[in-house]
Amino acid sequence: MRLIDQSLGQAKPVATRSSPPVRYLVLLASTLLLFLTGAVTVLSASTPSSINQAGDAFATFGWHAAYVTVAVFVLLTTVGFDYRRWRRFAPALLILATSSLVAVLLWGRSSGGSQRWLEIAGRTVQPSEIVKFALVVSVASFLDQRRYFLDRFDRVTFPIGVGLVVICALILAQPDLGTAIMIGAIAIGMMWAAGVPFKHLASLAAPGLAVGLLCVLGSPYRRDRVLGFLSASDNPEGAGWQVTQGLLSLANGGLRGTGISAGHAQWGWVPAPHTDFVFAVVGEQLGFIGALAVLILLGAIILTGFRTAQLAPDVFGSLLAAGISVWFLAQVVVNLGGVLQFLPITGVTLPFISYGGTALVVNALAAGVLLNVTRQSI
Amino acid sequence: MSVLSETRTRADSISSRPIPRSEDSLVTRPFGQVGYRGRRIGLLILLTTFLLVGIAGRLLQVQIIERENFLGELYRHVDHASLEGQRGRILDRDGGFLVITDHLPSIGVNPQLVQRPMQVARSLSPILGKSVEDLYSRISNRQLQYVPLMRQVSPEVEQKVLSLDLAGLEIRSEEARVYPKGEDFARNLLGQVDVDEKPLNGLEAQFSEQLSGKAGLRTEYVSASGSIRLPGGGLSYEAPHPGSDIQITLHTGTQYRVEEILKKAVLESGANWGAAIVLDVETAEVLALADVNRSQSDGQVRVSGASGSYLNAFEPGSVAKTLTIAAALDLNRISTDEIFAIPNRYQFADKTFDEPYVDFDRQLDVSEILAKSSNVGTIQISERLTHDELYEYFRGFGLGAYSSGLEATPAFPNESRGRLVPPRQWKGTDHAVISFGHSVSVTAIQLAGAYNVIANDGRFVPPTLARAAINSQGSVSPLSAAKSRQVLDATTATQMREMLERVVIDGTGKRAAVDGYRVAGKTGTAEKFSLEEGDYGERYTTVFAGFAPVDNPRVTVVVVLDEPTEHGASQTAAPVFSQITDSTLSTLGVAKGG
Repeated sequence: MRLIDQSLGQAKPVATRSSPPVRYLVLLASTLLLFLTGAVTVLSASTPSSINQAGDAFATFGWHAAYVTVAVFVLLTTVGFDYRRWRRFAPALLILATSSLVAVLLWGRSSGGSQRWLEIAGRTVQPSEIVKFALVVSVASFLDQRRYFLDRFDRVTFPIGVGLVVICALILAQPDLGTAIMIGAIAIGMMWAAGVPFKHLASLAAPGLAVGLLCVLGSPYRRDRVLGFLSASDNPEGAGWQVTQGLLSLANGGLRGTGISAGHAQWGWVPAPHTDFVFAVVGEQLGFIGALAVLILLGAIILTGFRTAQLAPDVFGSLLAAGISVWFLAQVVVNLGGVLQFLPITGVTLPFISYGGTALVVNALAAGVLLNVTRQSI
Repeated sequence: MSVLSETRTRADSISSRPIPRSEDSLVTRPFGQVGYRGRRIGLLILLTTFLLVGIAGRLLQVQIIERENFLGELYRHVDHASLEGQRGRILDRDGGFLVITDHLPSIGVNPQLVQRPMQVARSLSPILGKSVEDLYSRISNRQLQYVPLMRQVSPEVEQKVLSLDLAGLEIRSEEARVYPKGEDFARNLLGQVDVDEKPLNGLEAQFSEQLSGKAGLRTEYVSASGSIRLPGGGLSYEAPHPGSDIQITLHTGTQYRVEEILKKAVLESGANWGAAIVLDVETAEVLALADVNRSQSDGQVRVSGASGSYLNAFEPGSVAKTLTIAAALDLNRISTDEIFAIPNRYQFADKTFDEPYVDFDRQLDVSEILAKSSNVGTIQISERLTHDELYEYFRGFGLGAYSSGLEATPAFPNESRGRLVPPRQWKGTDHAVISFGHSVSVTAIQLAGAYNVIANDGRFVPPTLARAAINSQGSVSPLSAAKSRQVLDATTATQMREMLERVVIDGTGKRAAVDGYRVAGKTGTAEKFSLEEGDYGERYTTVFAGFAPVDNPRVTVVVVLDEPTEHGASQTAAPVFSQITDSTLSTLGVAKGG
């Protein structure tokens, strides 16, 4: 008999389970299959550029394989780690994440015009990914603590808002608008799930969107991306190149795809084929069938995540599940939205698939937490 | 909202606080139940489903429904590569390679991979022999992924460049013309191509159509840089066909010696340029044809880049007397033993001709007129011929026409026809002047063809250089459409040979003699007509034309030296003729004493 609270037990008894729900298996299988698909895709997407730049076909994939191995190990470890114990780490995680954001601004490594990576022992770590996890744990813990004051702007929305402003400001300074939007979306999604009044959320979201818009208009690079999104077909060689070539790759894949490694995207046609635009490679090589399968696997994780949020044994678990699901949802929608020309390109990676060590491990960590909550839910 | 205000007052003891159970509370619904939070998450599930379906729909649109539209940009991925059919080779008469196509390294860099352009430019400069500034400006162009620095270098240069071990260096293999017998060997005939194998002159230009291969076409998908062909990306393929080989009549060994002898002769005689031709008598095939000139800039004597033998016409002077005498003899207007009185001065039309080579009034027979090269004697003989007869015989010997014997087809690119004015335009002294080789001009190859008539029993065979085209399947098609014609009676030719032998034995051509062989030939020294002065000046072209052995001629040889310091042909051209004839006859294995 696992109860949140004595009083709840009287309202409706929560059934004990001798085995985890089917959702648990769906979630676990989806995650592992996505890791596998990602590994295969990253190998074929990175081979040409690896040969060209490092003279070694496995220069990129070798690290990806290593990160996936670590990620799966982290996932399997976290699955057995009672999610309630994360609450204890919330303040430490938040401090660690925030200070790493400060560190990245001070000593970070630049690439492609932004300073997003910390170099540790020769490899780079992306603190903004860690922030997402820290944010989910801290906001879940905070909202759980104040679950009776959710309609109090001053006790819930305002303090969270202040935290968001600090974190987002640090991230925007890198600059990384995409991750800042992610952070905002995750926090607001969790607050929405917790039951914070809509107008409070609107008062938080509105200034956020305004700042975001200012950022777009204030930077020629972002303006290009937005213009590229709006008028890709008018300018297929300039700002619209990446999205046009991405869609072309998808179309080239057709129903059944070109087959693994047989696509064009990775041969310099689609920029960032193993990171931001990995889905173009998936769709080209595996076709509509493969792309849809990947979409279904991602959808399965998000939807079972939300279902877990509904059926979690306690508020903290529910909010963790909801936060992680919103996180994955936002990543998927923003990434695929960029590739499929729903949204401007933001440099947000596709969870479990895209190359990127920190993101892979942190995604695995989140999935592990989600799995643990699911295992303990109805 | 009384419950809420109540909770605020007890905020410090949340965990122990009993949960209020009011129906309209925002917070009292338990998780896992159908409650407010559950509904909010339900909305998130709806939103997720909506977004995922939207994404799936867009995927369906891009990949299936409107696939064709989105494939519109695919043309950018297609590369149409023209595949060069390898250019044919040029072979000598024995099938030896004179020009082949091989692959040579071309040195280039990828500027985007070069770390320190200046350093790279400095280290490459001495090897490639290009200025540091020039190299630096190319290497530092980071817009490009490949910049050629020097095309078609030797393997030695490639090795030196490779040993520098520079990042970003790119060596590409390129088709190039290679000359196995040496860059200079017969380059006057073979001609040149530029680095893109465009023919510039010579046989390369003349037979470019046969030599150049048929290009193939490969259509395929390539990488964005264009340099990588995508695996499985082939769309269509049309194979290239190599060009035909061209076999020429040149005899490599003879050509070598003739070039060497002529180079030495031009160097020592102080001439501007020289030409030497060796014809096979019966077929009139060119066994050797050398053109050398003295460089205006550095004074070096080298094989010319173009063939003066075909291109340069000069006044033949005394060598033409042979043709006049042969014509008169052939028409029986004179006999070989007829004696002519040779005055020192001779009136023809409105002009008095001096006899420059014969000292006093003398009695000379025809053979002696030729041997002493008497102008007055030749004029007297020519007076036995009408304008038309003289003209027709000169034409018969091949003067005033392409050496191919064809009206419209030169035997060599830009070949000169020389100058032979038709008789109706002749005025005053023209007849006399033409009879001893002035007011006409010939090329060395025309002269060789004309003397070959006498060597070849009176039969004119157009001199040929190109023998056959051999296509990549090995089938041979002859290139020369030579039509021979009888110009002189065989007996006239025999008489002429004997008279020309006298020239060598005791006439102006003594130094043309070859030990062990009977040699016949005629000297010629023509004052050059100067365009600037509008008159004949103090500059001369010296010529020797002849053949050997006299009783059964095997080779006809012509030597031309332009403006030697010593202007008598007997001193300059004749000895060169002797060396070439000697060398050629022994190379061909002609028995001595013939």
